Amino acid sequence: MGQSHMDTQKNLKKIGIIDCNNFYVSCERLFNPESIGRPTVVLSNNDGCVIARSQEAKDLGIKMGEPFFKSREFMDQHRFCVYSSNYNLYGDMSDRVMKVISEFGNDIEVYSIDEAFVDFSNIPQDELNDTLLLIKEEVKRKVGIPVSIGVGPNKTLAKLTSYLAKKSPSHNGVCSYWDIKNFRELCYNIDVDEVWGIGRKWAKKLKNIGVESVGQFINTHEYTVKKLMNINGLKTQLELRGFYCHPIQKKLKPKKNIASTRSFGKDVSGLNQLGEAMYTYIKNGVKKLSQNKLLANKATIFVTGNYHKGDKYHFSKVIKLQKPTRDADLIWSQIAQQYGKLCEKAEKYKKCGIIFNELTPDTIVQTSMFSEDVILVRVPVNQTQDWEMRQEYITQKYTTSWDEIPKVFV
Amino acid sequence: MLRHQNPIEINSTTTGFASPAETYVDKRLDLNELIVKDIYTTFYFKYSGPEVFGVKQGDTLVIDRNEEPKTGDLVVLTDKTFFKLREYEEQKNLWGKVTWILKKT
Repeated sequence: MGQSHMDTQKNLKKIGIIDCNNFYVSCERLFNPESIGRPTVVLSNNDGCVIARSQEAKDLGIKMGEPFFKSREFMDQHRFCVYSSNYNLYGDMSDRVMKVISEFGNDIEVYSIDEAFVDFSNIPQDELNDTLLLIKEEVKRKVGIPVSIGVGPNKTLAKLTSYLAKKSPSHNGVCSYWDIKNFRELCYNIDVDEVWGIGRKWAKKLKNIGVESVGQFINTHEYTVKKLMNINGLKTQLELRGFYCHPIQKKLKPKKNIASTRSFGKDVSGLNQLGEAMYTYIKNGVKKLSQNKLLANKATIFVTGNYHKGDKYHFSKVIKLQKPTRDADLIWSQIAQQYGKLCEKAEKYKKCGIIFNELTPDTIVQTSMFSEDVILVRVPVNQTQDWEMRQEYITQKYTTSWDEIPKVFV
Repeated sequence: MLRHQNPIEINSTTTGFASPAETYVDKRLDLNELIVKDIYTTFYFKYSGPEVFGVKQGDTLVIDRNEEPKTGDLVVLTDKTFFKLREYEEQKNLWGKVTWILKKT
């Protein structure tokens, strides 16, 4: 490191974390007004468990990750609105939110589908709160999604500020680090694993040496922190002390792997159906390769049993592709035989998938002189599709399909 | 998505007569430029019901949430469980202003 911004520019930066409130629920509510005011949840792929909750649902005690079948009856009794996850909708809405936000800051780093770090250093300190409120209103008005904003001198403190703001609802969804009076004292009441960048593993190590709160962590000797964690742990500590170590990353890092995998709606057996499923996932994966302008050099294929039913098996195989490609039929032809062998190992499976590894940009075309022609294997025909994901409560592609735009009545 | 195709470049060094339109190569008209002011705030709805305000069953409505409606403007409102088409009166339950009505002849 040794860069000047690590040690000299204390408190000069203004870094914001913007996150969409209960994002998936907010997306559903925008197009399904019947869910406004009612407890609402969104389920994971295959309707397995709860992955987003409205405030009403949280207040009724529904937990994140709760299996749907366990709380189904309770939800019926309390007139819940339940939705399967609709990633076409969430992806598009996320893109719109990020675009509106990016107009206000210097730089934006889209951190996840519903979160972004923004460099607000361009905004004068005395205008900060008004500007943040304006951003919040603008996103709501233009795109219809409610957001919360936390701002601090760096990413770690922005995150912690945002965490504190959520704990005390008086902040109107907008909170600045510099407005929190007794910040250092508050830190002694916050569990150390609430800090951005401190995962469960590190939190456990810290607790082993008696460091339980954020306040204690801030005051731990740097040497101990570096030894116990690593340079990133040290950076986290420095950021909590007010230094700026994690710059906004404008560009997405190039993808290392692309995975296309899903659970089936029910257990699947037989090569026909398993083949169909795999071929569909290859086609999905190829689409992602194409969107990222990449070719795959290797593919990892796998099949997995139903863990919940005690079928704890997972078979996989890495296959070197003859040349970098994103041609679904060529890929299928090269994996079909090996895949067949994997599928024979057990009676039934719950999940299969393909991960493309060693990706190269499609601008670099390497033609190997010795590459043999691939013998094409007949692709599995779509007959039944009854292995498809369970998505009983999915809503429409309101913003990405002309056939599914919302209806307005008189 | 807005997608503008750039006009083909005319190369004046090729043999033959230069096209008399050479200096007049503009970008071809694109309906998106007329109708969509901001792709990030634009949404589409389909109207279903008897003809009102000149809107017929099956017409596609373009909604720009960035546009502020004035009294009498056509707007989409939320009404408990569904969306309804109305002339704008007050801020309450406003979803967005209708900026264009698209009809097929």
